[in-house]
Amino acid sequence: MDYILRRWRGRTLEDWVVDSVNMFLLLLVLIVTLYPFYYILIISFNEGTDAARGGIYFWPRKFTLDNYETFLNDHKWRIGFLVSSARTIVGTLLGVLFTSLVAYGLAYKQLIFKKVYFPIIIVAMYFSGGLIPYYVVLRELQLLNTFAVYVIPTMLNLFFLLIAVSFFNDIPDELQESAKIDGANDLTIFYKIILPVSKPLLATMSLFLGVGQWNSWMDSAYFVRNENLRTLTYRMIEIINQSTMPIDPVGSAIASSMNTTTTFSIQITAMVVAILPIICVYPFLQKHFVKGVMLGAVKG
Amino acid sequence: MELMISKKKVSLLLIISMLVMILSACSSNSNSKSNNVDNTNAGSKGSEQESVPVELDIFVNHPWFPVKEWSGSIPQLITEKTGVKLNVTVAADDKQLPLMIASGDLPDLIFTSTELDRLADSAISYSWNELIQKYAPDFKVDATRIAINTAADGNFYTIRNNFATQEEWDASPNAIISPGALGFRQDIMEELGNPALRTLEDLENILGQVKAKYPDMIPLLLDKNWGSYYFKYQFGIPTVTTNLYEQDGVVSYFVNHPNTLDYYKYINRLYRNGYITGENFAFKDTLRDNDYVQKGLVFAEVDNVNDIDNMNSQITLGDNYKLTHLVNPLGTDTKYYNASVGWSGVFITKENSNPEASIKFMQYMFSEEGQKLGFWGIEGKHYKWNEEKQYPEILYKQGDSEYINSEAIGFWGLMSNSAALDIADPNYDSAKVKKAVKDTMVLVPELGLLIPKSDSEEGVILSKLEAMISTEEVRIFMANSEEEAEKYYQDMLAKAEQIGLSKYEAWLNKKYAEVKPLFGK
Amino acid sequence: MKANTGAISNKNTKARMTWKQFKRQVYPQSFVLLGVLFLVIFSYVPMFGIIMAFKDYKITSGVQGIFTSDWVGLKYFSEFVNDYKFGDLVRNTLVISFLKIVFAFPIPILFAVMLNELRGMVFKRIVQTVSYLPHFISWVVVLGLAYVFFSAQDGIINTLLMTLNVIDKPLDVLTNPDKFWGLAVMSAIWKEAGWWTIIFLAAIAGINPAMYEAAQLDGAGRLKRIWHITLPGIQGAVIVVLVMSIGSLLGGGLVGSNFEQSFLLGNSVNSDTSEIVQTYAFKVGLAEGRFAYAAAIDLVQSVISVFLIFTSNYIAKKLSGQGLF
Repeated sequence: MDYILRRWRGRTLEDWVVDSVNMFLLLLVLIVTLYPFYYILIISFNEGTDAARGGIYFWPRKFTLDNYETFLNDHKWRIGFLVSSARTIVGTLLGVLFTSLVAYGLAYKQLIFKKVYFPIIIVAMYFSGGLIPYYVVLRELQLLNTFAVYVIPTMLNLFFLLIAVSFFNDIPDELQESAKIDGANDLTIFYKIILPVSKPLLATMSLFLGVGQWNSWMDSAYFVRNENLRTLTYRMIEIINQSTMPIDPVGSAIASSMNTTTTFSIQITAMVVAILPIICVYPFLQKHFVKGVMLGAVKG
Repeated sequence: MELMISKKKVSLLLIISMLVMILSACSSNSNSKSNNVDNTNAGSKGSEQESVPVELDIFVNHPWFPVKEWSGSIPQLITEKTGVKLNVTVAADDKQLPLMIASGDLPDLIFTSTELDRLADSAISYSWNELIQKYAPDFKVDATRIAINTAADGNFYTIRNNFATQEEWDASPNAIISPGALGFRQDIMEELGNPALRTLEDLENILGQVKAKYPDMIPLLLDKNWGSYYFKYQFGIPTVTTNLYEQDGVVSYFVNHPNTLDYYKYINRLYRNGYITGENFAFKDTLRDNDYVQKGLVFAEVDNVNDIDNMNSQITLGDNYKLTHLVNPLGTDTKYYNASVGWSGVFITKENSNPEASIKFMQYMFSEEGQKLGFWGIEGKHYKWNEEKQYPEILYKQGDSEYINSEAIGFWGLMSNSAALDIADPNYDSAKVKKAVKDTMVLVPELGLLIPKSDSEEGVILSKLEAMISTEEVRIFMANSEEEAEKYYQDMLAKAEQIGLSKYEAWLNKKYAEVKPLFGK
Repeated sequence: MKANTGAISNKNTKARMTWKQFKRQVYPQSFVLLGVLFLVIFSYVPMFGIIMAFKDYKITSGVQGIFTSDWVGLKYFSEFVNDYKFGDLVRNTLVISFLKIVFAFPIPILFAVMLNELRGMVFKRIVQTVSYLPHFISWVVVLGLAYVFFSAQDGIINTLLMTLNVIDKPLDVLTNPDKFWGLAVMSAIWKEAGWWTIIFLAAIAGINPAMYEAAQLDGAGRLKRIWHITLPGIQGAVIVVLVMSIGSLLGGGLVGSNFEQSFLLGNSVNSDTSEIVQTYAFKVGLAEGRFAYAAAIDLVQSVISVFLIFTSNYIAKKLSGQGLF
């Protein structure tokens, strides 16, 4: 009797309860996170002045592609797209490789001076001299107003450095030992063994660093003058700024008289255009978050 | 992103990416108009009819400025007339300019309404008097303008826009200012029987009737800034261009003005009776209120008079949802104190690659022809002068921001326009509102000069006072009874004293004594 | 992870031993030293700017001004501490960050576990992808959305709840000071939890599936397997993220910037509970170009953050054997 109750279609009662509750809660999460985003999407496809009336919930009331046309026709946005794509690819690659390399070194089990290195890292994470000295350093290194300023200073991500160290520590020693016996040096081990086995880590790092690169606009504002080097998100901020008013009353009176503000719709559309590429790329990385990746790596 | 396992593939990729970076760095360097002092390729002498225009980099420190490049028929014409072409960068936030100043990497020109005292420094900018003397001795600037833009070292480093002397105002009777205004739903007024709206008490009564008859509507909505500017004006409290008033030769901050408490109590009463919502006081920006008007949820709105016009042009629910302007003031003591000494100015920095072309460019922009071109547009194409009613009649659709922005109508005129050039279209009700307020205008530019330097002791006190008041005021507005409102007001005064109000006022009076002679007072 | 020992009393011999060890691990050492070099250039050299916090620095004096301006000692610190709002600011900052750690930190972990337990691949992928979308919505737009959903006048949520008669007065979430802390934590969770789940999902992916099978054979039920295998399996990642969150306590840590949130969702009406150290310093400091004042505030935060990190790391090591470093 017990046995019949306990298993149905291969799952126990506990399994059913857990699964149902799980699915229900996650469904709620889905709605709560999806709906605002969906709302943004339909507003972007709706005429601006009509959207201001409110009352749109499930489908655009006055469908239009005008909002998107504004951006896709603008050559500044097209250039911004190229710049952002280039920096995301190059910056992520450099960041992931360099950070993992340093992390591998730090994770070395018998590393001496460890007690010196970690505090150096922690202090660097929290202490900063501020914007002005940083700018001066970049200037002295001739990085200002170049593409390199987007990808070189970001090569070492301290947060992921520490996460990667933790991951590497969990990799079984046998993997490295057997390679060493076969005569491989540390660099080879890094490329041929550690990296392949750390796919979830690397995928995560690529995603976070990639998104960080894609969303970057402040370095574009502070460290670059060339309009052809502006990122896509910098352009987005420009649009969002256009719907702000000067704080001082005279300025705001003047701005009102010139009727310069952009609608919420345009702001939203700018945001969607800036976000879309990330959402398209993500599914390709998702498969690395499936369990069982380690399985193939552990030698029998 | 496929992961490279083989060492060779990774190295190859690294090399390729390095190459890409180097190549793009090279090309961007050669493309960019570098701002280093030793870049002289743009230093070609700019005279009126040069075939190759002088290129100058301008940093526009107004994030809301919608024109991001030098294109359109107006800029083209300006280039023809001056031989100068501008490479435009608009600020993305407010840290960029201080960073530029601190690092010394300045563009050729800076157009800003902030950091004025920092930029008026011989270490950072060229003084205009020096440049005028050297390159443009025929650039005449009137004594008042020089006086109000003179820095501590006796030179002037810019001439701010949007100022006009008494003579200029008198010469242009249709020139107006753009004050706060009240707009209301005419259809609802009619349903209430068209009651008189001539005083502040009238307003209170009408709002009460609206609330009783239409419980779902917001009786009164206040724009974040203009709500307070409008009502302060009705109470005769200095606002908009200055928070200072002068009585018997003594200059004081508005918190101690005799009518200030009455103003606070009035707004508090409106809130306690439910005519203003609590959420109204939480608005973070000046556009939040537009949404409510667009949705037809509001009976009366207080905003800048132009914003009301703009909102009306965007209403899609129907014409009866549009707001009608209230033309007459409501207060008994209304006076518009105009202490404006200008708003925003152009600075010619020490890193400027062609000071001669720059000062001559500014000379053109300040000329009557340049002002009209920059501010009104091309005569015949964008406007035509209506001789009968004495105003510039626009030839494009009002509110067509796409056209306005692409042609850059009005924006470049902001570098130099005289306030007397702001002439309203008399066909709009808003013109009547503007004129009515202008008729109560009192010019007090000497008060407008009493601005402390940002890093001075008084400057710090002022910014703290302003931050404190913007928070504590709300407590007064939302008090549960008149006694409570008064108590919070007294608390606020005490806090102001604690922050250093007396020190600030002492400084004000000291500076006032220095500044008075400039205006012959 | 144990540091190297090798204690021989003689100094010279010790130095030689150390050098020998160094040579043996020259590859890892050089990898690390590359990182240190990078930090020296991009983090430590700019740190000279910190002395600004003690100087009467004006930006018009340029970069040299950082060195040539007069010393003013602790002037900015005492100015800040004596501000009438000081007590409120510190309280708000600590409370918001603390609430975030207590409520927002467990959520991504829980969520990652829940996602991991899902059977349907399609549903799992959809939920996971959608859950991190809010991360990309900038706080400025979140503010706009907050009005759309929670406005007391016609917000979607209020209208919905009132029509369903769940409440009879609209929620005044946006203005009530008592509700701000809840609003801050909830919106932070909504915005960031899905994003941080990714890290924990990756950690879970690293757990050997064989362990689950073995446990199942031993008769362990679902919940027991989660408790005994999944959670301990990601312990390393949890500790790393937790310690770093505590270190960033003042800044908002795991679930994102306190600054932007307080700056945008805070307003004159709820400022008693929404104004934090960073927003106030911004309003009276940075907004006026007072870099030195802002530097002083940052310095205090940095010192406290580092202190918190070292402390929490020590405690984590004592309790679980594992720490951040």
